[in-house]
Amino acid sequence: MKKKILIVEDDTGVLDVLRIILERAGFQVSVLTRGESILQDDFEHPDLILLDKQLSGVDGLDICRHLKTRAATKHIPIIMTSATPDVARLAIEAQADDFIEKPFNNTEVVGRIRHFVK
Amino acid sequence: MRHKNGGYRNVEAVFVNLLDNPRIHGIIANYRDVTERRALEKQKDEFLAIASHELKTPMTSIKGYSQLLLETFEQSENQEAVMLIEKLEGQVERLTNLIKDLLDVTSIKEGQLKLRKVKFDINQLVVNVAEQIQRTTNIHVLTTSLKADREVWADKDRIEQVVANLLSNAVKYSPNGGKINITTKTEGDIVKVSVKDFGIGIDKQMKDKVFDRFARVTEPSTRTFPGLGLGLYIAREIIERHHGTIGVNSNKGKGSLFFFTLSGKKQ
Repeated sequence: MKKKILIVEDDTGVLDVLRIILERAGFQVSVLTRGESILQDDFEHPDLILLDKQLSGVDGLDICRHLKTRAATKHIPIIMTSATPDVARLAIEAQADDFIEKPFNNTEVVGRIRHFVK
Repeated sequence: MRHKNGGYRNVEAVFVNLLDNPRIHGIIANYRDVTERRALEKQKDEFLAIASHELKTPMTSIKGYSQLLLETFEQSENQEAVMLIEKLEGQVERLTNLIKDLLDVTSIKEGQLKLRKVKFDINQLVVNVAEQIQRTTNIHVLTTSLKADREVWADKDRIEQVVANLLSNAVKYSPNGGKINITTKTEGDIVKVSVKDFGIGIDKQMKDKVFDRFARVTEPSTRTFPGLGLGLYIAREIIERHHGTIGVNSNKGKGSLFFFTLSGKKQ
């Protein structure tokens, strides 16, 4: 059974390429371009979330904190992404499990995900 | 300085001491209002920060797609396409590094260059970076002499950035190829890393300026070398933030020796 990865990313260019990378690596991918539905807990729980920091409408860090404080979702590994390297520290403070800086290497993204979902 | 209308203005002042002059016996003060200039500089830095960040997003897609293409052509064993995509990837990497440099400069100017210090083996770091840089050239031979006998406390990624910058400069400014020697050694509590090349070198007037922002070394033959002139400026900031020193000894036409020091003690 394929592991489910949820990509939360508002840039369609990055979203498209991430989807292809992860599908080629054998994951089942779902996407969200906005974060509000997560805050309302209106989404199918995946095995891992790839979460961008800078989303339109809501900050990825707030989404991360929200998910990590709720019993139903705190076990889901979250890897945050951002083009700003300093976000790494903020992501860890928000209890993200890992951080990937953009632009990334495809193999690095897949490798980091496989660290959490075998 | 407070303006007569109650607001505050930024001023630059130059004072000339003429107290010893019996005819004047005073100090001449010359003030210049630089409020607008400062505001424009701030605006420029903010623009640079936003622009660099925004440029990284499409770079992410381009880099991702080029890697996917490479993977596809490798699987179909299309060697020519693989070679072309590898060249494309090299240029993508170059553009990514230029954008990163611009972002670093804005962080430095805003005093926001943050360090995450850990203890690590500087010799291993030098070996890793030397291997990476060696892969970019087949006319240079990088050799190492690693005698540092203690670990350092520093931001590993940032020190890697400094070593990579010194090595890529050594390659860039030795256009005819040749040896590049990297050495590490311990002097008391201090670890010293040096990079010696046998390239075009730097003349005396330029030697003090190479660590300035946008500094570029050119040859009399008007040969130009690519780059923004930011790498050594960023390297100096990184090393000084670690309370280390960075410098260069060079003779025009005979090559350069760049070095930096780091403390082996936790700070």
